[in-house]
Amino acid sequence: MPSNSSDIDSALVTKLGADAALLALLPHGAHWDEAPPGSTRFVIVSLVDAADEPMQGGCAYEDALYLVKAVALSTAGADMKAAEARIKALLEDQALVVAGYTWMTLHREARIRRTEVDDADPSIRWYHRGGHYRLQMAPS
Amino acid sequence: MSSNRFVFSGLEELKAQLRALPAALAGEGGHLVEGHANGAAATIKAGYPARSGELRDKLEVEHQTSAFGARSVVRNRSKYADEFEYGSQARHTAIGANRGSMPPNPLFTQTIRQRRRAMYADLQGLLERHGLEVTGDAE
Repeated sequence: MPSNSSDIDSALVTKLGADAALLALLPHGAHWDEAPPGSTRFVIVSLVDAADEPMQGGCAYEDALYLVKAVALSTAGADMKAAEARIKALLEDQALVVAGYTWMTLHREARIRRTEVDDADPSIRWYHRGGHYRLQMAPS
Repeated sequence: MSSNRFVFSGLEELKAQLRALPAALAGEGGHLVEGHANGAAATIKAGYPARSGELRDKLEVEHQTSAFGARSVVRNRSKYADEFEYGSQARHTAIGANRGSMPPNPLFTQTIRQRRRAMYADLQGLLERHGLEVTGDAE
């Protein structure tokens, strides 16, 4: 089956969105780039950077850096520490199955943690916690 | 008693070249590092939205050089830089406009990583032009 990089993106989102433990913490699921309006506890997956390692006749492997983070409104009662830990447990050194690819490595390169404060109403705060995950997949 | 002997010629010239190598590499390498940092900053600045100009205005590049090395740092001191880079949720601006959520826009990180890869390739070329063999990856 020919490889399609978008399938890797989808596989990441699907893996996170299908985990019962993570859904219990972040019931509004996992989404690519943006969650639907009204969501208050969710996971965001986004592509930060990608490079193809060339070889004669094609691509040896795709090397991508993803932003994967738990996001929650401060009043939604999310356990951000547990959510970040669950994301890490699902991804760190865990194989990702994608048709057309062979998994090589998946690991966190850096932590991300920030609090977003509304400009007009400082009582409105959003918590972001997760990391940059590096994923390398070789086209089969 | 053996009359074999080894004769090395040109050793003084080699030693002189090796002594001069760090300074030569630092000079040319420094230009490469600065050039890529400035290029990264230009790309990032051009990619920022031109509303208030805050993100563009607060982007800066700092260069440091010595006889043996060069270092350039690109940073954005705007308080909105993180929100732009990592995304933000439904929010209001200081003038009351409802901005809604914004997806992550990794302009800064992606540009820096791309430029860093190009810089490493250029630095590898520099070393090879000076007669050194380079193996492995910088990252």
